[in-house]
Amino acid sequence: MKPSRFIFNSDYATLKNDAEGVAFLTIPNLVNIPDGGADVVYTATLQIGASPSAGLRSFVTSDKYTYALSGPSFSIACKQDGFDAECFCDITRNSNGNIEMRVTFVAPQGADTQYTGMGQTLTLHAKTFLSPFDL
Amino acid sequence: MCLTRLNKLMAKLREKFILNSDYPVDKIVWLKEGDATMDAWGNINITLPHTVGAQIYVNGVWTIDDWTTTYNFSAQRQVAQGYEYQATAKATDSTVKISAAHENGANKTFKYRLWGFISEESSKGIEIKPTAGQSANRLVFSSDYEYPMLYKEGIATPGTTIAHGLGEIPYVDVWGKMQNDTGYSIVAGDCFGEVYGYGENIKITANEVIFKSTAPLYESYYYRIYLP
Repeated sequence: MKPSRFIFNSDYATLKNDAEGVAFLTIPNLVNIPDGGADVVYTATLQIGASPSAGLRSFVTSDKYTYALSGPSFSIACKQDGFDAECFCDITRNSNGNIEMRVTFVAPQGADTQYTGMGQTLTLHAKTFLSPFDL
Repeated sequence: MCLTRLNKLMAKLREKFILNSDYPVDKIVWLKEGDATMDAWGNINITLPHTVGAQIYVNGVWTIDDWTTTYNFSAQRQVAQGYEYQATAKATDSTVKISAAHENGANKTFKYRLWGFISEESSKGIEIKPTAGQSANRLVFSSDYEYPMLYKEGIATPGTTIAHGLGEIPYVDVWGKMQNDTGYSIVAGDCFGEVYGYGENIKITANEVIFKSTAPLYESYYYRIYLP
């Protein structure tokens, strides 16, 4: 058997598209977190009714960059108190079939902190798909 | 001019079919689902053998709340206390190793579903066991669904740019093998690369997939580019 020789081969399981959509998230150019404060989180929710154990294929574009970033987590460049740093983006399928994209600014312990320079609008492009275990 | 317009029209049309004989669909060569209990700290490590006989590239999903929340392998979330969750599924030519952690996962049931692909190059000259009957889903093909159409796949190294020329940004899955390591695990687009100049650093444009040379931690990538 050589699965790659055929466009479609019924001997081998495949993936089926489930749902797809686009969501937008604008993050500000300045985030202040006081000493003892909590992480600051910005969230975009894509209500597409994704199946419970659906897989996720996604990429995120930004009005600040000319390229897209692939996958369910990545970092975004910024400055933290004037030094090179990053905030974090992660994408999951939550209850009710929603796809959630979160950008998290981590609160440091024992000091005030200021994140700057990351202002942009992110666009999440997500497709979910069913694996052979679904249906 | 007419040919350009025709090409654009064809590009739009090819996405409208549930199956298109110009493009193969994913063929899964390895499947596995299971569950196990996370330890008291919310960690778990599982090693699964496979007998495909070549390097495979594994992706999948996992949960600790019976699929109320579903995570992809390679996803991670960093919070003030460290990681809220993270997971990898690293495959070699004989094993798949799962490593996962979740801050709320102490003694909870970790459920996973994994599927693996093989590269065109690796599939030459070996016999691969059919997988169509290995899952609960006996219906391999159903016209109720569309199928992800594979446009291009292959191996790339840091510093390589792969031209796809689709004219719009495609969905891309990428697996990476770290230096001095064995096995590939699926990786996300850009972690630390833009800021610190290291780590996986993959950028997708309307015509290219760029594996930046500022990614010395990875020595090799396997990519699959799908039609938008």
